[in-house]
Amino acid sequence: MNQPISFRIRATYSKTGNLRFIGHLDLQRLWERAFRRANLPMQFSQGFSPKVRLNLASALPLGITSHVELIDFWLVELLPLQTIHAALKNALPAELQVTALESVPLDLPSLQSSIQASEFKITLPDTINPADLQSAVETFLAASEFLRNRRGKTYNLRPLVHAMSLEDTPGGIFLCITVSAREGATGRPDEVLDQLGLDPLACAIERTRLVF
Amino acid sequence: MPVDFTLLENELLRLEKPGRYVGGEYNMRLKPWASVQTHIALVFPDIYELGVPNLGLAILYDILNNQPDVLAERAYAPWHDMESLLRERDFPLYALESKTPLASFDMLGFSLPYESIYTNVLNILDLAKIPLHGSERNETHPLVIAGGQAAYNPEPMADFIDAFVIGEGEEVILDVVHAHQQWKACGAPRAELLKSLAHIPGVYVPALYTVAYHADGTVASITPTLDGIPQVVHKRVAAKLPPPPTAFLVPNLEVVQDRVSIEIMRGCTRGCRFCHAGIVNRPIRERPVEDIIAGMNASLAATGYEEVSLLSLSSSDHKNIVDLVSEVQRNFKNQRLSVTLPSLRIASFSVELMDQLRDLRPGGGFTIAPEAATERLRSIINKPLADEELLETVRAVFRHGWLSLKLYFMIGLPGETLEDVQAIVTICRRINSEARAIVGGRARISVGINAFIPKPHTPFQWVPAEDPALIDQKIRLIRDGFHKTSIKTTFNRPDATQLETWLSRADRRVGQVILKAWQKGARFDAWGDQLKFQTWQEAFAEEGIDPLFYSQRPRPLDETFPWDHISPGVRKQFLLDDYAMSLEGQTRPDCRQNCYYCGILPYYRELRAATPGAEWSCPQ
Repeated sequence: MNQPISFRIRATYSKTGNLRFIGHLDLQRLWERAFRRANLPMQFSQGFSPKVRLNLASALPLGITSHVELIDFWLVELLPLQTIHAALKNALPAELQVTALESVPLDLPSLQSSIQASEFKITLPDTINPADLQSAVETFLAASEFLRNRRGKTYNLRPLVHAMSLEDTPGGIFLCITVSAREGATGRPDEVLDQLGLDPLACAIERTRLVF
Repeated sequence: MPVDFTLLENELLRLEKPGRYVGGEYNMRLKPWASVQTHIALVFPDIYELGVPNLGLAILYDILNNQPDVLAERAYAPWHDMESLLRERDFPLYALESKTPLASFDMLGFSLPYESIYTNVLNILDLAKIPLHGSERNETHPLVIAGGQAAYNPEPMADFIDAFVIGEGEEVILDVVHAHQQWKACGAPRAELLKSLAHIPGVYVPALYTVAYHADGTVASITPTLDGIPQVVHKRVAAKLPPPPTAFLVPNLEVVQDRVSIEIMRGCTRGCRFCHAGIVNRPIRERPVEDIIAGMNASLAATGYEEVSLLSLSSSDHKNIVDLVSEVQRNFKNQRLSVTLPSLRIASFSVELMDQLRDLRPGGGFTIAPEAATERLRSIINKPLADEELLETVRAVFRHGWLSLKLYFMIGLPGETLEDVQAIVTICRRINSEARAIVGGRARISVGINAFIPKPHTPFQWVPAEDPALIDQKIRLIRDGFHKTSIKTTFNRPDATQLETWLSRADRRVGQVILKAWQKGARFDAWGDQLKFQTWQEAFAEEGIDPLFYSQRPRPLDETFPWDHISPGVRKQFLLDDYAMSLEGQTRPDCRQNCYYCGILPYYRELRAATPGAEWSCPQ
């Protein structure tokens, strides 16, 4: 099949404010439309209902903000990154902002398959006793199995958590966790918090790094 | 002053689709509160997914936010889980843009697209902590106005709405804003605002009209209680269609009509006798082809949507439809776009027209609405169509590559016999064979059956609705008739249709029934699975009103209807004459061929003279 010439661009973007309430599929649709508005020379998929070719990295669960999200998209014409950035700036809603752009090799594996883990920083409510939580963290890390049920399926949470530490700073108490982010093996911060005896809805959660 | 939204924010994550309640959409307009004089909340009383695509509110949102001294924000009906959360936390319902409580706005503007959302209107007022009854509101409360298709019989909601805007809102909304600004500036009591609104053409203030009843429960009179306000409130009409809005809100979630909508025409000249929209939206005003193409270009650039729908009541009747289709195909064929053009007349010509949009064809099927399955009944409803023309159209659909066809029929039409109902089955089975003869086993025929509602302001407004037991019998007949075929049928719930019939034909007394039904938990009554029909029956019984009085009673020809004081510009005598013709099975061709003096031209004579041109279809 004749492949058109294309260029692969990777954007780092932030998802904040009201848009933290938009789920992954809706986010995908949001990006498709933003690209159409930006009037960039996009590559489209083949077939009956052609769609803008794009690839979002590991889904960000609802309610979580981030400044480190990644999206790959393909252009059929190479434009200066500054031009692309300006076009996207006008085409994106205020709470979705592109902070970096780079051209990446066409033959890189997909974002989904490249990403291994996510780091999250969780701001805890003031009512938390740091000493109690520190010991909860240590107990968690010492265990090998936490069987949990999510959406009717049982799974072991422990191996999905690669690291966990507490930071007690003047600015607040933060829990930093690194969880697996691979297909079929994704650790969710709300599950971790619940396992620690905390209410996820009382915390502010932010993704701070996608780990390749 | 917004309440602290952060107190509620995280709780939204407990709900189904929190994206319904946060705003932040592309093209959202957010103006600083203090930067304008007048603050308006536009409210669609159903969930976000149904409200965002509403074109009427999109038009008003655009117009109002383009005024330097006005801001407009939006609110929709919260789903049950959000309602529980708001009540639990005692958190007032807010507008999405700034999260300001609705009660802080100067004005709330409700869209009333259909009657079955009335309990949602009450629920929204209650969640906003605004008194439900107009009579209980004072200067600290927002003005509550409403408009839309259901406003042509405003009486059931008369207790709860301060002012109804009848007809097209583009110009009259600014008159209302102006009146409000003048009132606010002079510091007069609320009653003065209502009086000044009642003097605006097209605005109906129910508190300034009294209704008297005969002993038999019919309306004796509807009388204005203030000098200088009209006996009959005539709708407002935009003489010429203004340029269409283009910066549509692009929703956060998947919504029902997730695309750009552009009106190519307003009004209709076909005169189908059952059709409320065809009467109340007269006269026809066409949008020129260049404006439509320009509107499409601007909207697509502003939204990034992949689909455009070109709306009208009868697209085939746009004088330049052929030109429009060819221009659309020419301009947009390489843009990876789909274009839908619903409401085409049933004719092979329509199929050929749709086929010209082949590069722009969305997936899915073709839809036609014969409404009745026999030539005789189609003549009675004034939608004449020869059987052979229907079949020829069907053949054309499948020959041009469509694989699925949806047909709409009504049951319970005046003059209908069981033979007419049986004919639905016969004609659809015939259509199925014809389709299979052309495309084989891939043919998919589906049929939608709705029970007829005799709507106000139509020639059939004197007709009683069909006995529900007979409707059930007819549904069974149709179901059995399609048994063991591949034809899929969908039926509107008969009790939902009954409720809609009651509410659309009700008088002011039914307001208390709506209140009671809401108090008993009725919400989202337009949703098949949410309707609590028994609750409504109880509400009617407890208020001592027999709903069948509104639906099953045949009307004397000289009865004063609860909606007679609201005029769509079409004379009641014209409707009566047309009804008499229907009894003889006489049809009336499209009024562009022959003006029947329905009443539009005399009343809007000056407007017509000031707007010459072929775009307005009445004679000059």
